[in-house]
Parts: sequence; C-alpha cells; structure tokens
Amino acid sequence: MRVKGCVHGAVLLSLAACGGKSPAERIAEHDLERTSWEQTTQLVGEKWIASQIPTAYAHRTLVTALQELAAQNRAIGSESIDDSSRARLQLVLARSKKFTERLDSAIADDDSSAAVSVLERAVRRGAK
Amino acid sequence: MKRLLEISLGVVTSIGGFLEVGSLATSAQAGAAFGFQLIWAIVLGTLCLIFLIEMSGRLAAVSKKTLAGAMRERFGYPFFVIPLVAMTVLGVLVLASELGGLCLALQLVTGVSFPWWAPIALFGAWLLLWKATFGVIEQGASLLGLITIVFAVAAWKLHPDWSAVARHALPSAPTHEKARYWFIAVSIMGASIAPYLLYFYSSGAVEDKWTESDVPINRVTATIGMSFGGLLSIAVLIVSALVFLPRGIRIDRFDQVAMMLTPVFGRTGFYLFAAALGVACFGAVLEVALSMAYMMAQGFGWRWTEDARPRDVARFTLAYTATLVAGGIIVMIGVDPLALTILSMALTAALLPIAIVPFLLLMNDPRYVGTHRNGWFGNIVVCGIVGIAFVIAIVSIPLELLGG
Amino acid sequence: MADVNIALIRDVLDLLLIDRDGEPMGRVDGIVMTWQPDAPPRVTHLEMGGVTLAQRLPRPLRPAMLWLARALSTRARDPYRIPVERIVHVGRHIQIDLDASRSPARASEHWVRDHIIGRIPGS
Repeated sequence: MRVKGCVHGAVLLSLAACGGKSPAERIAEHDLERTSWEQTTQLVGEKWIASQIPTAYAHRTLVTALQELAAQNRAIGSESIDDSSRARLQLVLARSKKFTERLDSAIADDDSSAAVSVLERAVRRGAK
Repeated sequence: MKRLLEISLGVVTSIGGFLEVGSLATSAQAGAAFGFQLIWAIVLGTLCLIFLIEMSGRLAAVSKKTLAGAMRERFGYPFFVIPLVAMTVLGVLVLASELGGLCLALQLVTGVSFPWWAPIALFGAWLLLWKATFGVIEQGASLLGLITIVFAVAAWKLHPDWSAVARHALPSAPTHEKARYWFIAVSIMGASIAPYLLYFYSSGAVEDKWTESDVPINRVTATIGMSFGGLLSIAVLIVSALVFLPRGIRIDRFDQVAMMLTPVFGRTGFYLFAAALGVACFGAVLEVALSMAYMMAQGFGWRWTEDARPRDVARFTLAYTATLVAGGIIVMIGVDPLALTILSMALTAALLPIAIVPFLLLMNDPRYVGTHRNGWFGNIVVCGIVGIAFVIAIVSIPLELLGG
Repeated sequence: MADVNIALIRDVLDLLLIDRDGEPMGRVDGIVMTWQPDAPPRVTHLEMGGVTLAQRLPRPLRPAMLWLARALSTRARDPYRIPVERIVHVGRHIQIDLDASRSPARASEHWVRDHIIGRIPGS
C-alpha cells in the first residue's frame, strides 16, 4: 500500500510539472520544434543537391516534415497563449511550410538549380 | 592458442550483437538533443550489462541450468509467472521495434513503405530460425553485426573534443528540457540492460555445455565484448551530436537519423547506415524471438535446442513462431517504429527489477552457483544501477506520455 | 533408491523431469500425497499439467486459468500422474524410469507436432 502511495505521488508530481509549463516555455518549445524541421529540410536539400541521398528518401523526409509542421500548426491553434504570440508562431510556421513545399517541388522536378535557389532564398530570409 | 581463439570469438560475438535499434535510436536522440551530456547513461547501462552477462554465463556454467529454468526451480511456478508474463509482453514490443527497424532499413534503400516489408522480413527471420543451428545464427549475426563499427569510424573522423566526451562519462544535470533528459536517460539504460540478452546468453552457455573452467574466459569476453559494444553506442551519440545538434535538429522521426553518416562517407554513408541498421536489427529479431521461446520452453520443461529438426522441438518452434507473428502484426499495423522503440526501452527499465532481483538472489545462492557466488561489489553495482533506472523510469514515463 | 531425506518443495517441486533417454519431459507441477484412514500420509505421485499449475496460482486467477488449462489440454486424463516408484534419482534433475515419447507427458508436444509444425514442409 505504501508503494501504491508513492507511485500515485510520483504521477501527481508529474502531472503538476506538466501542466506547470509557462506560456513562454511552450512558445519556446514550439520555436525549437519548428527550427528542427526547418533545419531538417535544409539538410535534406544540401544532401540531395550533393547527390548524397536518393530522391525517394528526400521526398519522403520532406513529406514527413510537412506532416509535423501541420500537426504543430493545429497544436498552436489550441494553445492558451496570447494572440500576438500565436500569430507570430503561425506566421513562421507558414514560411517553413512554404520552404519545404518549394524544395519538395524542386526535387520532384529533379531540378538541382531550383533546389539551390530555394535554399539560398531561405538562408537570406532567415538569418537566425 | 585455442583459448585465445575462444576469447576472440566471444568478444567478436559480443560486439557484433550489441548495437540494435534500441541503442541506435536512444543514442541518436540523446546526441541530437543534449550533445555529449548523456554519455554517462550509456556508461552506466553498459557497466550494469557487463556484470549481468557475466553472471548469466557463470550461472549456466556452474549450475548447468539456464536462467529461466533456475528461476522457476528456485522461486516456484506462482512467482515465475510474473517475470514470464512481463518479459513476454515486453519481448513482443521489443521484437516489434527491432523488426520495425529492419523494415525501415529496407524502406531507406528501396523507397517502399516499411509496413509492406514486415511479412517478408518476418518470413526471412522465421526461415533462418527454422533451418539454421544455434552456432550458425550466433556467429553469423555477430560477424555481420561488425558492420556497426562504421559508427566508430565516423565518430573518429569527425574529431570530437575527446576531453569533453570523457568528462561526460560522469553524470551531470540537464540545463534544459529536464523531463526529456531523464526520459532519454532511462531509455538508454533500458536499451543497454536488455533482459532478453540474459536469457539468450545463459541458454547459449548451456547449449555449448559450459563448465566451471569456462568461468574465467566468460569474465573476459563479457567485459571486453560489452565494453566495445558500449563504445559503439557512444560513437552513435557523438556522431549525432556533431551532425544534428549544431543545426538544432531534434530526432523526432526516424527519417532524420538516416542522414547521420553522409557528412563523413557521402552517399555511401546513407547506404552504410541502412546496412548497419538492417543487419543489427535482423540479428536482434532472431535473438529476441529465441529468448522468449527459451524462456517458455525452459520454464515449462519442453525440449528447446536450436540444433534439432523443428518437428522434434514442436512447442519451442511454435513459441518463436508465435512471437515473430505477434511482433510482425504490430509492425504491419504501421505503429511508428521510433516511438515504439523509445517506449519499449523505457518500459524495459521500469520492469527491470522483476527480472533482475530474482536473478541476483540466484547468483548469491550456493545451491546454484556453488563457490562462485557474487562478490559484494557486483551485487551493489547491479542493485544500484537497476534501482536508479527503475526510479527514473516510474517518474519520467508518465511525464513523457502526458507531455508527448 | 536408497534412504535419503528429500525436501519436497525445495528439491522436487518445479524441477525438470528427465526420462530414460535423458530427454526433458516437463517439470514437476505438483506432488500428490495420499492419506489412508489409519496410516501416515505418503507421497504417491508426481503430477504434471496445466490444471495442476492453475491450482497453484492465487485464488482470483484460478477460475480463468483452470478454464484455459482444460481448453488447451490434449491429454485424455489431465493432470498426468507419475508414480513415485518410477523415480530413479533426485538431484539436479529428477530422473524417471519412463520413455517420455510413449507417455502422456509429451502429449501437447505431439499434438503441436502433428497438427501445426509437422504440417509445414521441411520440418
């Protein structure tokens, strides 16, 4: 019975910790996640241009990236944060989505130079 | 000279069989999210495993009994049912993870979606178990598994700060994302301290008819082999830390990991990764399926050798077939292999005490190990590490499930 | 067998049974003692079977496990009892003076062989 109490305590602690993430922390979390997928797209682009990864794999990974970004968009929609933060997050998410779609399109057309310019444009735009 | 050959074979067997989807996935996630910070988890997990594997061999050599058999005899059937059920459920999840890893490797190379590969991969594994003998499987899987050395080569070529690597062999507190840090730490430990390895190892020792004179060699091969294996996991972590962390890429989906070796090996690196993943997982699928069949057969007193025709060990054959099919179904449903892997590794850590505590009691019982009882140091190390893993697991798993 | 004191639960129960040819024939799932009206209780049989195992489980689990054991049973009479006179040696294993392949001990093994594994080519 003692053990049961301990486990219950641990679960409650965990729940408390979870719900206790401040809005700022959750926004930061979203930024990190988006960056991760943006950078994944970047890496896929670089590797594909250098012929280091097959086209099928590149396309599949970009599709995954788009799925993840879409899921994030939905999650942000239901987050309890202020409207201006929400708007900013969704704006940068939309840009990442565009970036990934453009790259995917270039790869589908087997167009190296288009891919290169998509990457260059992204670098120019997003100096973080 | 012959001894030297035996030792080398034992070491090679251990290295080749160490890296599988669990250690790959958890080390890659750790490196990408926390750099070198979680190296200590791999060190602790490997240290514990070395002690446990050595014990498993010693038990078999002295008592001439396998771990499962000894557990039923020493603790009785009503108790034995608990680890039997727990390890079987866990085993199916782990098998599904390894099978998933194998199918993902095939997906990488061919572009065909991983669930489609499940029936084929399943059949291939089953056919090998059906046809081959224990020796062929053990040696074959391990020799092929040496391909995982590419990770060590890649880590070397990326010139990490070795002093930073060494420094992080000691535990440190997380600076950010605390919940995730501890969850990945416990998954790493669950990936290293895999109970199925212990059932597999003791069965092999009994199958090879070890005696007390094999105890010293076992100590050497277990230590060197598992240490090298742990170093391979650390290599994966280092490569991931140097390739993904600087870009801020977190490993959330499997697709991302596949590019890991391209900075060092170019296009070949992509295929090397797929090959290493595929081979390592294939070996693990065989081992996990066999381990579960061993546990059931030894627990109930069936014949259980791999060196007989399937019809002569019918229940044993049915056991490994059933576990393969169960794992295969999970993969065919399309459960994300990465998520499944991380979860089953964390669950393993949470369930470790069920498997390890009775084992430790056996290793201190002169009726089973005679004069070769555990030293106090071994007992403390294993108890301590398993205890730590358990505590972290029961706190961090609910957190992750709720937060993820 | 010579006069030897044997701790039944510790050294007999759950141990591996080995037949005349050295092949495993299951484990001691239960021990049967008989009471005569005016004689002390005697150990008469070693018992094997899913039914015996089910009865050793905690009370709440018993009905379900008993049902399962009976449903999966392939023997004409379950549980299977081995007279203690057949015991040759008690040590690391329990040596039995029987040929397992001709006894009901391996009933489920034969059933699985004949109905499942044996039907697959190459077995």
